[in-house]
Amino acid sequence: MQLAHTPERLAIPAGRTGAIIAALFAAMFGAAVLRLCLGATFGLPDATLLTLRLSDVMAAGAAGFMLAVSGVGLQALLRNPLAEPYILGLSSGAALGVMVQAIIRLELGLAAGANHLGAIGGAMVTMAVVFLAGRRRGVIDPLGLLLTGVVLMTINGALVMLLNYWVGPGGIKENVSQWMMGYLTQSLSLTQIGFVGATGLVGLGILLAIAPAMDVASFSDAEAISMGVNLRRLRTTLFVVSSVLAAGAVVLAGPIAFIGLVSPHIARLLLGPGHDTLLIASALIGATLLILANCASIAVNNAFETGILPIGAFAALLGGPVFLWMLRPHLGRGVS
Amino acid sequence: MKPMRNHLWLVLIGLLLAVAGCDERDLATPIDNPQNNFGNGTIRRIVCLAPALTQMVVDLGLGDQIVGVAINDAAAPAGAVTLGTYQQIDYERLLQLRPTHVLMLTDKDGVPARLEELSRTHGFTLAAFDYPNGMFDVYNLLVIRTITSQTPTYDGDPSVASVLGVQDVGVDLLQKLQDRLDAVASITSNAKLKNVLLVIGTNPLTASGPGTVHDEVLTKFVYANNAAQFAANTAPVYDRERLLELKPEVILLLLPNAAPLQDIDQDPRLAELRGLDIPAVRNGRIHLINHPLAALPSTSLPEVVVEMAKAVHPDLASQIDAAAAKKK
Repeated sequence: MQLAHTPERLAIPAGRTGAIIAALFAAMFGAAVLRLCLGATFGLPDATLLTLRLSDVMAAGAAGFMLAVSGVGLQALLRNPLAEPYILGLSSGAALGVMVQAIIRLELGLAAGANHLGAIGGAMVTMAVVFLAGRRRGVIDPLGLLLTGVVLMTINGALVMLLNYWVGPGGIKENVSQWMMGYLTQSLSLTQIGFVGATGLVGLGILLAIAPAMDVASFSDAEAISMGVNLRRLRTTLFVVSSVLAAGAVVLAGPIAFIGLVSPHIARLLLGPGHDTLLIASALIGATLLILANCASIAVNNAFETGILPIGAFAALLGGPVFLWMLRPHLGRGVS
Repeated sequence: MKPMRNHLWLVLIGLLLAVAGCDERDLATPIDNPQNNFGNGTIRRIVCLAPALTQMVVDLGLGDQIVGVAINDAAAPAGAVTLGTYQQIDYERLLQLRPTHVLMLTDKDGVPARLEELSRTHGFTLAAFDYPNGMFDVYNLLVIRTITSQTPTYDGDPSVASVLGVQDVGVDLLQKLQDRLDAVASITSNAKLKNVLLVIGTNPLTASGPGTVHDEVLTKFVYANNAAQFAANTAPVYDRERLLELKPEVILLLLPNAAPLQDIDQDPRLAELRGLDIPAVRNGRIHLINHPLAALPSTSLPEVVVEMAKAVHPDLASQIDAAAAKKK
C-alpha cells in the first residue's frame, strides 16, 4: 500500500516542498532571534536576560507548535476544517480546572499549586469524558465526539461562570480572567518547559508515523477500511495525542484559540493536504506565530507601557490577516 | 395502581418544594427593633449594593440597619440578605425588604433603569455614586460631594452620610480617617523612600498601576514609590524581565483572604519571582496583605495602610502602631 503517494500530494514538487519547509524553519528561527534580542531593551542580552527571554521563546514556540499539530490531528479526526483543539472543550476544561484550584486555594487556605496543575487536570478530565461519551460501539465516532465536545464546552463554561459568580470580584475572578486571556507561563523553569516541549515532539513524532493513514482516513470510512487502515486505532491515537498536545499548550500559554485552527490551513494552502508535510509546516507556522505574537506584546509594552498584553490576542491579529490574504483566491468558489 | 402511586410521589415532592420556597426570613428584623430609631427617629432599612459603601455605613454606626447587600460583600453584617450584584439585582427580594435607602456605586453603565423606576414607584431613596478613583473620592463619597444625579429621586444627595441623615457622624468619621492616615504618614515620611511593587494578582503577575486608590495610599501615606507608576493602565501585567527592570525593593501582595505565604520555593503564587535578582527577592522583602477588606476603597483603608506601612518600613512598625492606635 503506497499511501504516501496520493494524487494530491504529487501536485506539489518535492523540491518546492523542501524549499517551503526550509523557509518556514528560517522564519521561525528569525522570530526566535528577534525575541531573544527584544526585551525591555533591544540588543544582545546578558546571561540573565538570555535565560528569561529563552524561557519565553521556548514556551511560545512549544505552545504554538503543539496547538498547530493538535489542530491538524483534530481536523483529520473530525473531518472538519473548523476543528481546533478547543472545540473538544479542552480550553474550557482547563479554565474550570484553574477555577476549582483557585477556589480550593481561597476557601481552604491551601497553596494548591500553580495554575498549570489545575489547567492540565481540567483538560484531562474533560478529555476523558469526551472520549468515553463520544464513542459508538467502542469506536470513536467523529460526529459524536464533536457534539460531546461542544456540550462539554458549554457545561464547563457554565460552571466557570457559576463559580466566578460564587467567588466574586473580591476573590479570584480577576486573576482567572487574566489567565484566560492567554499569557506565557512565567512560573516554569527552562527544564519544565523543555519537558512539556519534548512531550509535544513525541506527539508530533507519533502523528508523523501515522500520517499516511491520516491521508487515507480523509476519505470515507469504507474506503479507508478497504485500504487497510485500522480506523479504531487511528482515531483513538489522534484523539489522545491531539488532546495531550492541547493540554500541554494550555500549561505553557493558557487557553489560546486560533493558532490550532489557522496554522494547519496556512500550511495546507502552502503545501497541500499530505499530512506528513502538513504536520511539519503547521508546527513551524504555529511556533512562529506565537513567538511573533510574544514579540508584538513586548514591543507594545515598550512603546506604550501597557504591561505585558495577552499573546492570544496578538496571535489572532497577526495570523488572521495573513490567513485571509492567503485564502483570498479560494473564497467564493462555493458560489455557483 | 402503580402509576397512581408515582404521581402521588410527584405531588408530595411538589408540595415540599413549594413549602420550602415560602421563606419569610428576616424581613422584619431591623424595622421592628425600637433601638433602630436613629437620631430624629428615622427608621432606615438600608440596602448597600457595593461592599465599599457597606463598610462606610457600618463605620457610620448604622450596620444594624443594613437589610440587604450585594453578593460577596466582605463588609456585610450578619443576617443581611444577598440581592445579587448592582447590575443583576434580585428586584423581587429587594422590594420584599421594603428598603428606605438603596446605595450603590455606578460605572459607565449608570444606574439600572428598573431600579430608578422602582425607587419612584416605591418611594425609597436611591443614591448612586461614581466609583472612587482616589482618596479624595473616598472622602467625598463619605461626606462631601454630590455625585450622580440623574433623576429627581436622588438629585442633590451629597454623600453617604448625608443621604442617611448622619452628616455630623460622617464628618467625625472623616476626621478620624484623615487623622489616622496622617499619623501613619507623619512616621513614614521620615523613612527612606522605597520602591514598592503592589501586586493585586498572581499567575500572571498583575500590579496596581497609577490612578488607583491603592497607588495613592502607597505614595502618600506609606511613603513609597510605586514601581508601576509609569504603566499606561491601572492593572499592568509584568513578565520577569520587566520585573528585573523595575527593581522593586519591596513587593506587597494585596490579596484579600489569601492563605499565608510559604517559602518562595514552595509557594506557587511566588513562582514568577523565583530566582529573580531583584532587591525584594534578594532581601526576602515579599509581604502579603490579606486583610479581608484590603481591596475596598472605603473607610477600612487606614487599617490596610497601617499593614502596608509596617510591611514596607518594618523598622518603624512600633511607631506606626502607636501613632495609629493613638488616633483610633
